[in-house]
Amino acid sequence: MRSTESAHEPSATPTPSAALVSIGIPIDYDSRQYWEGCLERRLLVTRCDQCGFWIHFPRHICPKCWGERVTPQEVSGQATLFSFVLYVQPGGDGYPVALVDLVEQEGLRLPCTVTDVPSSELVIGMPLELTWNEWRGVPVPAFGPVQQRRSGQTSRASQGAAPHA
Amino acid sequence: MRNPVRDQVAIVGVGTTEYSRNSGKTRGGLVVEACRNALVDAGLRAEDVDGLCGSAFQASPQYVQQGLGLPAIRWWSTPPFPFSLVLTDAVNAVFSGACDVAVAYHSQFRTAATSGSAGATDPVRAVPDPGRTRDSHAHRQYFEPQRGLQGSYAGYMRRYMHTYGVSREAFGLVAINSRAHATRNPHACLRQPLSMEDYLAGRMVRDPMSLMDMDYAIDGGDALVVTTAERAQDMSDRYVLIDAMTYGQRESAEEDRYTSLDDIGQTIAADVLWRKTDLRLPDFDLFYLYDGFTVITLKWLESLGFCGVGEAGAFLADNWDSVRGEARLLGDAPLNANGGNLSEGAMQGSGHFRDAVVQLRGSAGDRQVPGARAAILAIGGLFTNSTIVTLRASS
Repeated sequence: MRSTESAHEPSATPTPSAALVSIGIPIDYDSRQYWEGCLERRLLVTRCDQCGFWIHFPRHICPKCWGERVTPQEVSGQATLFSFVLYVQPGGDGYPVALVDLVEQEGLRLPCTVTDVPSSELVIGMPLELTWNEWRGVPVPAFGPVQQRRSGQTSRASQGAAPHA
Repeated sequence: MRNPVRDQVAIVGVGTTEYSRNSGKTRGGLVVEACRNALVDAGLRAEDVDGLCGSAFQASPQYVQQGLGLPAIRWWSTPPFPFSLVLTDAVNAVFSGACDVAVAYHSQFRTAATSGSAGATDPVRAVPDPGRTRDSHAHRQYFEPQRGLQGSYAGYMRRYMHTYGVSREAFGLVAINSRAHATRNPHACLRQPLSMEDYLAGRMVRDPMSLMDMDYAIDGGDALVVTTAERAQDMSDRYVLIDAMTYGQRESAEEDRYTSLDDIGQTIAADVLWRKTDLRLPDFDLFYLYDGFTVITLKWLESLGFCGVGEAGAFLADNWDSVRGEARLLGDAPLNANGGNLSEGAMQGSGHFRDAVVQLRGSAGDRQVPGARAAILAIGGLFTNSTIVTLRASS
């Protein structure tokens, strides 16, 4: 899953990494693949090759087994709402800033907003599903209501994903 | 558990500045003013000081040294806030012999980062507060695109309310208690009485957290002078001794990573404290439990063992003095006797320490808690900066 593009070799054309930096996301060697996944609307979470522990925010050493073979993997996009706050501006509705736990592992937590759920219907513990918002033109993960999946339909998490070598 | 520092280090001077919404002074100037006042209070001269400790966001040791004309400094450190991290660093430096007389300082300056109204009318204040800006990669990469980390304490508050079935009135008791003390404290910035109706009508900012749950941004400075207990005996009859100092931090230290409501640093700091000190809750006359947000105070009551988890609001209601309009713990001990961050002013704990020292010296005037001999200061929040310091009066 690691990108074939080397971060160490000069490139004549702007790389996705350079574009991210230019809009104010200071990616680093831990987060670069996470953000390049976002550009393809694929939520990548770093996972330890050795013990299987999911590591978010990404780091290059596993905090559980101290191994340093880690690989970003696409997650299911299924999650539950751990808690949330409504950012209230005078005269406006509250903007939900949420903490969601991905189902892959207890406490595998993302800060994000919740879309398409009225704030009065937000309940701690409710199931949610990955969708995407945009921030400065870059897709960023958000979570919304669980969609009823029809037979044969792929999950929203993988929709829009570019073919990957 | 080892506690060799007990009774070996003393606080021999205390200084402050006016607390206000607009001092017309700089954050560094407020530090220097508080340090000068603390040294005058201790009866010390510039030549006596050989250590400086304070948050570099407020004033660097170089700035303070120059501002006070201190000829020779041989130890300094720049811990972050809360102020307990500053004070304990200075105490450890004196205990180790790195210096003999250290000044521990802190200031706050209201800016657009801490006070929504600060930048609107005054260009001097329309600047980012370096002490509040999270310029870490994690913040800029993961939180800023999701509009911030500021929800962390409010998110904890909502989870706490959900888990234990607690209503906003529980948090209101913390705010009302702090305000009751502030009404009697001329140093405090918010002195008009606060009722539960007032609390519940507070403007919602980070729902479920309203302005009434948040500390009050001010300008101000505080400083304490720290030296050995041996030297303190030669200086004064009334000084304050360090009894114990503990920190706590868990694996899930980032503010949005806790797996449960008790997966927080406070419980470590409290567990270690009760193994370091011989004092027990009934031995304390003064309780300063951090109130940067109301939920923090409730959680400190639980972490210290006053009551079970989720019960702090009911505990305050059961220990409420309706005549005074404030909580009285273990019979008659006040909680946040200065008015705390919520009402005296947001000083990240330096106001709590200043008041504890003044009370333990018996010099709090008409606010004096009679016979105050020991104080517990549980300073800092839930996650990355939970600390406890216990202090005793010398005589």
